Amino acid sequence: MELHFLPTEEQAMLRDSVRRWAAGRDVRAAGDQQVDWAYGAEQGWLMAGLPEEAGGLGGSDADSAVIAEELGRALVRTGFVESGMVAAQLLLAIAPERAEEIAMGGVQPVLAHDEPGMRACYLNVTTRAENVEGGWKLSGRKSAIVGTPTSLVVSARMPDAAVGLFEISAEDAPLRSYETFDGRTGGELTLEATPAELLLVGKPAESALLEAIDRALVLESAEALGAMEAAFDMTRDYLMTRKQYGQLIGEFQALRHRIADMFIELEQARSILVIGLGGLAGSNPQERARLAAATRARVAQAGQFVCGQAIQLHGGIGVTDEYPVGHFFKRITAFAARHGGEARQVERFAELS
Amino acid sequence: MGALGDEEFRAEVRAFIAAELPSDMASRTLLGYHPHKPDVEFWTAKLDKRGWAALNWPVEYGGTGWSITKRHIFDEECYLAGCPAVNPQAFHLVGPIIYAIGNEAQKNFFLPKIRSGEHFWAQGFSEPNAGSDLAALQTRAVREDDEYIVNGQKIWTSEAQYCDWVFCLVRTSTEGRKQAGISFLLVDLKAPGITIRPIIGIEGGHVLNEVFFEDVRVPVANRIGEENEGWTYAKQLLGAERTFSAVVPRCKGLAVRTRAIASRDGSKGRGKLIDDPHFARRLAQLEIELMAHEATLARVVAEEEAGVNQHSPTPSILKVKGTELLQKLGALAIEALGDSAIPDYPEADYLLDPPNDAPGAPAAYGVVSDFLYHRSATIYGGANEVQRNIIAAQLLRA
Repeated sequence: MELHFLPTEEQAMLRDSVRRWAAGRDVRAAGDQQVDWAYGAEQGWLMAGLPEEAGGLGGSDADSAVIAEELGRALVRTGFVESGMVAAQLLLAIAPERAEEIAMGGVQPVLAHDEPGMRACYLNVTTRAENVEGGWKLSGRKSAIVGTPTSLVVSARMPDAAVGLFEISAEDAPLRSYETFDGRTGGELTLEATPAELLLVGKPAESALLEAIDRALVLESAEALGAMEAAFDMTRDYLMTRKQYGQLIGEFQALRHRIADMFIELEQARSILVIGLGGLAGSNPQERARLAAATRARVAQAGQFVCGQAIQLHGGIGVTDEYPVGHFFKRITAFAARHGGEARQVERFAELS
Repeated sequence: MGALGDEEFRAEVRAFIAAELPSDMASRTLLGYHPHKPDVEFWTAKLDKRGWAALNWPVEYGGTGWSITKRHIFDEECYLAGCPAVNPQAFHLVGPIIYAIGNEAQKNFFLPKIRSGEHFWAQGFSEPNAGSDLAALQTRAVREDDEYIVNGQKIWTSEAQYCDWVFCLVRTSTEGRKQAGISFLLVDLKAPGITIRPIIGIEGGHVLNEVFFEDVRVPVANRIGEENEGWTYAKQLLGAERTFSAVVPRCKGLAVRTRAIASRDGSKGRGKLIDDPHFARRLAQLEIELMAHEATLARVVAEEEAGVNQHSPTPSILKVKGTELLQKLGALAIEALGDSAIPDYPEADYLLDPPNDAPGAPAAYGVVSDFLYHRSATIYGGANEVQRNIIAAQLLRA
């Protein structure tokens, strides 16, 4: 497996441009997600991870990860990763003729795969597809759909027990939207014989689905890494400005050790992400899944420590809504709760090893 | 079985709660949102009628005179049954200071009003630049005849928005050590010159406040004890409650709740998460930690009551271990909820009547809010870093 530890020149430029765009944002507020989405599409963020032959900009998932990390730093709520980098690429792989619409952000798809209680047993799909008078109808429940989709890519169990991937326009989908505790838009879908277009079925559908899931695990980890970095930087600055007992709190040995431990964890997260990206670039699906699970688990472990301690070292100010650091903690808490949690991803790693 | 024993007393408390606590109030309290004032008033009145409101006070001031063991049993039964907690600043902090240091007039005026729930109290200690280093406080009280003129700012003032009085540490002298010029004042929150500004927490709730004092006139008669002796009284106050920061009932409640969440049908595939040996083992690990923590509490209480081993730093252990366990249990509860944890279940919507079309699962209401709020548990009441310093200082004394 080839690992890329240093950013390419193009990736460094990409990083700078996203960071400049995000620099003035208020990390506490969701902002206008439609405006963000249009900007990202215009900048080519949706296609950054796709090779040219697939209608992309000649990039890789590592490029998407650079963007995701910067979006995480600024706590951008818009589902660029979920929609633009995961679901859009899945849709594109299945329906290449829609490349232009997808690349321009004209469709905002989200993968509706998770179900209550699925806990990262990704092939335990219980939503059922029935063929009624030549058309398909789906019944079941899909949970934790992040973003504001115009289109849903829905997984379901076919009558012959194979996996099928379907598309349902958001207009036809009874999506129950809610605000997530980290200020994003979430939704759950209750399907009751809801008409759906069949996209792909059987082994090809299963492979495409599993690849999309691994991409989500890794690129969301890149976003989480960005959030950790921002919380870490903020805490480091605070230790060098806040005084108690007549000295900077960064002069207390206990706190010096803590910030050192936070840095150690942050760097572990940064490193495992390289491994996860290496897996996505490889050709072995089982190995890819194993490394994606490892990435998700290690970043969640590091993120909960780093962002939790970022609050702790800030003291009282850290638990207020007005101060940014708690918002990073909330994002990490939500990240860690998804996909069955850190421990479940450790189990998957063991199962796949 | 609780480690604290006395099953007969426990049964008596349970019977009282069963007879007096309305079930809707219990279920609302158990969700884990912040206290709802009408509930606290209702329950304080019930307890007062039974003579159980001031459980930590001596009999002569209308308290129960109970042993520490009995108080812990009572606390635990009340917490687990979903009784609203009485205003802690009044009963656990200022009340004991008033009966221990206050004069007769102060005792006669304030104590009955605390017991009945007429007066809710806030604590005015921390300031923006005096957190862990509390003695650095700068709110000034300048004597003018028989009044003090108070100017300054307090912060992290829990529940000030619905309290009637605030007890404050204020600077009355800048001479000598910074601990030496501090006095202890009781201030009417309705006095002219006081402004209360809410601080919204990361969980979205309003518990904390900033309280600003601008030329607030406080009668000298509302000073506790002697001028410039306030620091000594505050230290005494913090020492008196040293086993109650163990948060054992709260941890037990959360362990029970986590087990219940993991025992729901469909919490893992078509089955239950609790039947997954990996999850069950991790919950069990925390339950074992909690068991040892609870036994440590019981042991420290036994030592306190017997007056032995008084110089051991074990009370600081209780605070550190209890609050850290609380955070670990909260994280596991969220993990058990999985995707159901993700929707925001705002306090305002769920405190009284959860909406019919709420997303996710009813088991999730309040879990994340409680978890986020309790990030503060390792910060308030002497940050855990300060507690560890106290432990080390006591251990390493020459």
